Amino acid sequence: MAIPEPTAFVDVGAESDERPLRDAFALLLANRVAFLGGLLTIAFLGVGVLGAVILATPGLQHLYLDQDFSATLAHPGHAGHLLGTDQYGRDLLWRTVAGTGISLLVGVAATSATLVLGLTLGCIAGYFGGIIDRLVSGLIDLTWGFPLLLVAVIYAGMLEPGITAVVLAIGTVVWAGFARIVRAQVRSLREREFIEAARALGTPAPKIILRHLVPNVMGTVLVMASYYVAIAVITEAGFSFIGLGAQPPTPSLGQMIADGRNYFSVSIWPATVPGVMIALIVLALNSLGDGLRDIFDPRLRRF
Amino acid sequence: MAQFVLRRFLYALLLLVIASVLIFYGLRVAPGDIVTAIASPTQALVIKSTLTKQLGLDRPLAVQYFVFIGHVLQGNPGVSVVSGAPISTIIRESGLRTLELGLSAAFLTYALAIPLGVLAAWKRNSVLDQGLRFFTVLGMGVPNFFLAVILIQVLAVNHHWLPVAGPGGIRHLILPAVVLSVEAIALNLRLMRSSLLEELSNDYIRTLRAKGITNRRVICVHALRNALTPVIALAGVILPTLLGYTLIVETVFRYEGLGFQLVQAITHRDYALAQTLALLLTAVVILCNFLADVGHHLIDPRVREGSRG
Amino acid sequence: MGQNGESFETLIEGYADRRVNRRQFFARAAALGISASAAASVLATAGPVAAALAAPTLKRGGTLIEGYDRDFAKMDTVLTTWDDPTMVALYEFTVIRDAQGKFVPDLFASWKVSKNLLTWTFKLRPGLTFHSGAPVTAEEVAANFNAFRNPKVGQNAIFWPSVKGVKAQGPTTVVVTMSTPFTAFPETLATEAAMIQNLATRKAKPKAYGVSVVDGTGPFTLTSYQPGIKVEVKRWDKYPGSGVPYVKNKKTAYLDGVRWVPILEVGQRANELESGSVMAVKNPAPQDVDRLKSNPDIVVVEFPSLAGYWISPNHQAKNLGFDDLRVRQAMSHAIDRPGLVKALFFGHAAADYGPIAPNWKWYDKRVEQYNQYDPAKAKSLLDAAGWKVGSDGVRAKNGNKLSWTHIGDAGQPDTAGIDVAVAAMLKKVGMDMQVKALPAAQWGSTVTGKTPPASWGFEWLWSSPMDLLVFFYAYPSDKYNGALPAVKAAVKAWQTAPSDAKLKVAAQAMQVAWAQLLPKVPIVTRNDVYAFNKKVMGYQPLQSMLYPLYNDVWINA
Repeated sequence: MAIPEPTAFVDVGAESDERPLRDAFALLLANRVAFLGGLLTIAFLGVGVLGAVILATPGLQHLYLDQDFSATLAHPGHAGHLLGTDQYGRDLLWRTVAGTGISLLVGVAATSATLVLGLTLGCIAGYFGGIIDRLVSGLIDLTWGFPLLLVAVIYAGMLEPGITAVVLAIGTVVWAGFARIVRAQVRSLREREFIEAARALGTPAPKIILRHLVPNVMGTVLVMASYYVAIAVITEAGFSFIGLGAQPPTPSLGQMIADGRNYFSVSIWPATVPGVMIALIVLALNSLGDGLRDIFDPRLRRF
Repeated sequence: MAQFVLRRFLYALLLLVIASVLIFYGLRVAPGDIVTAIASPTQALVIKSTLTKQLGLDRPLAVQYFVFIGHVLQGNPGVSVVSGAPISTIIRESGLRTLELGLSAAFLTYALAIPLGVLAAWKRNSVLDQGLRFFTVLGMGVPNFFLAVILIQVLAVNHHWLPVAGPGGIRHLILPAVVLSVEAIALNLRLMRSSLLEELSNDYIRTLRAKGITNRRVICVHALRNALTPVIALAGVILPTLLGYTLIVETVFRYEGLGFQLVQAITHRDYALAQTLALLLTAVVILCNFLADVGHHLIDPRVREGSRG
Repeated sequence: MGQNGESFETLIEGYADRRVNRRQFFARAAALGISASAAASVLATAGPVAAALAAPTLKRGGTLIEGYDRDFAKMDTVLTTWDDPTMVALYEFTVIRDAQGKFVPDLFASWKVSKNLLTWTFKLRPGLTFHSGAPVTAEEVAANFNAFRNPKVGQNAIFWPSVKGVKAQGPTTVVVTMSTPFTAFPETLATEAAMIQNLATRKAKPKAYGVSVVDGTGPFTLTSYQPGIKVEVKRWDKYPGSGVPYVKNKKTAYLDGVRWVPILEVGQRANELESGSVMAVKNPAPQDVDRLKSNPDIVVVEFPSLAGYWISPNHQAKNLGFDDLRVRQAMSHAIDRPGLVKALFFGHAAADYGPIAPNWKWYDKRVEQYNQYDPAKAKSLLDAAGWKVGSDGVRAKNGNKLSWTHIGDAGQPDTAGIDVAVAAMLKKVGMDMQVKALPAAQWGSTVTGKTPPASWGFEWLWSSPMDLLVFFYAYPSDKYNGALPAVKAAVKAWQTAPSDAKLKVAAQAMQVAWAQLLPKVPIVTRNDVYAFNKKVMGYQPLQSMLYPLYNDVWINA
């Protein structure tokens, strides 16, 4: 749902530099903000995976479902609840962990769909050109630029409210922006010597795409993947916040904020903890994306 | 050029037709039905069948689709099946409010982002620049609905400076407009800064400076014009996105605009209203994208050669 | 006598005139040796009285903006199954309840019952008209009654079983004949489902009626209805005045109009009231009630409600054992009602051990011997019924897991938390209830669908709680609720009771049968809380009525 980053519409300078990933990692280390973003992203992944495991394991669900009417809306640190409790006396830390699991699942599902679709269609259009390119470009133009939330709300009308609508909306809309970038890059790569050589040797097109083109756009994939996960996280949360996303008792972060704000006058924690969590996740992914972009896109690295 | 515009226009039209079919069929196969909804939650089955007939829901879907499109094209989208209110009235009233909100947000965005972006580039790496960078990072990270929750709590509930929600005068517009625009401000500010810095590193700027033209004049007269191009291009992306945000922001603030109406219509399974509103918002988005494309094409010849073949 | 020669009466006056605030009132009452609970009970009535007494000079004009805790249903009295505050502004009852719950005149000026209890003769106030100008004749009222009681037309025909015929005699007399004595008839008449509307308008505009067109006799006319967003009414300038004895304003309404907005985010109601976005709210979130009470600009009136929340297990779901009383009892014993009242409602609710809340005039305390919180008993009942705990903590019998999807109504945000809390409690005894909240539109079609859910939750609200039980013992179908003979017998007894004493006996039999056999499992009743700005005058909610009558309301701006 976040507004697409400038890279998504300023045609990225299509120079591909075949700098090995090892150098990239060294550069990432050198960029403080990006490094911090990377660390936070790793933390997010860790917490998210833990949350997903808890959500999927019936024997562990009690961690975020157990209620304690003697300790409702408790402040952090009270009765062993590190971040306090909600109105049912459920542990906010575990609920936030589980909610992060939902965010991660939505992020991964939606981003995978986006990347696979965008990469495939972008490569095909860029490599083959001609009528295929026209068709794919037409498709891109048809889908690109649609507000995610509008599409998600329409999906929610078609299906039952739930996170499926968000994932579908992202899968439907966001791929186009990505395909557009990939297509532009592939078009300029196509003219490069190593591709021409491969073609002259009679290498089949799928092999050229997989062996030579895809590895060369991996940098862009990484950059955009971090942005797309952020977009997915924030869209899911916003959607759940207005009540059309994840339904209780599933602890989506957005729905936790919507629920928790009703108790603001008693305790600020039930809304603030998940709110800060979302902000941290999005900040982490954005910083990581910025850092990666600086590394993989020299044209923008100058600033 | 004319060919380009025509092609984009046909694309837009095609997209609108596809969208109308998807929206119509999608909302009709949806679970839950209008008949139960308007007859109130515990309505007995007997009375449902008469309602179904009254609403024309027993006709084939394709017929219903063409009836719907026919009405919309005649500018008479009919009445809301839940409230009986004429949809054109709802659109006029709510549309004006959404327009008001959108324009306020757009005004805030550009009135703040452009000068601040210029300032940040000008005083690069100063405390001001650092502060603005911090703001942009936050503005792009904190979800707008969470920001809304906090602002409502602090400014409206704790201090009573602004109303919590509801329609009304300009005071009711401030919080929604601010919440709606924060992310766009951050994004544009950042883009303005980087774009201006890029422009300032060009050779012609160095030449100008060598000629002894003041820094202020260089920035304001020469560099700014070129540096604005990407910001204008971004507008084409931002407008539809802001429109999407109105769904959340209007709902949070009970601001009676199109977004709030659409969310309510979806929740109430008000087919006719939801379809028309979804189609209208979709048409606005398509129009925005079309204009942005054409505008971009006009401003920046590079686009013509670069991305389209 | 207090230290300054103060008596309790002068203290109440002081409170009414707002010279004494709430906290001071309690402190001084204590100094007078009056217990806090006694003082509180006085305050409960002194609040609205205060609003009226403090009135300096009456002002006409202005629009009351009121936050409502629900969404609005269609406003057609033949079809309504829901009571919204809009109804009392647009329509009038034939017979209405007063503060004590006694039946007093509204459109009907008087009535009498024949000695054999089979003929009721009602006298209509003369000279009444509908909003459209059409006269309200005895003929029209009789036609309304006949529409209500016809099961093919009226949604609530189930409330009119004993009525054999309705006829007009001359312009102002309506005669209703019964097949059996039906003492509870006024109970039925004094609900929103028996308010009088112009059937000709309804027939002429079938699609628009009840949503964009309303033709009633109430002091206001409909201007706008947008579900989820607002309902607006404006003063009807030709209103002939109210016939209700306790309505002080006998002319047209003081207000220019009323605008109701559904505020479904519970915590926002108090916020909007305090920040001035609305001037009154029904049911601020329970966590905010005490805060509002301490706000000197806000008047709060609170009493136990004519409502209740229950979970309705499908007695047809034999694979889950819901046809087995022991399983339903286990479900009920696993629910910590006092805990819910304290945690989710901050004390502003009552635990329901029977189908009707303890505040009702004919509440039967015997229900409290059932359904008490006792997880150990719940477990042993399930064990006895053959449901054994599996490795994952969920019980199973003959390979069937005690695991099901429960349908909650997302259109009732105030009580949505009950389902979630109950599910966690049931889990503790090995019952795995998975809550799925559906939007209101979907909830209805799911519950009445071809394959009704294994269970659903719902908060009801009705000014005649026994009629409500009559409706719900058969909703969504008789089989769904187990077709329990004892419950049916109680319904019959209520609908044919020849006297008030017999009504009471039937009502109590019904409550006990329900508590014992659990066609539906009662949980809690939250209090009705009305909070409004002290500038809102004449706003007088009654415990026997769901909403205040808006004709007396004015704004002291």
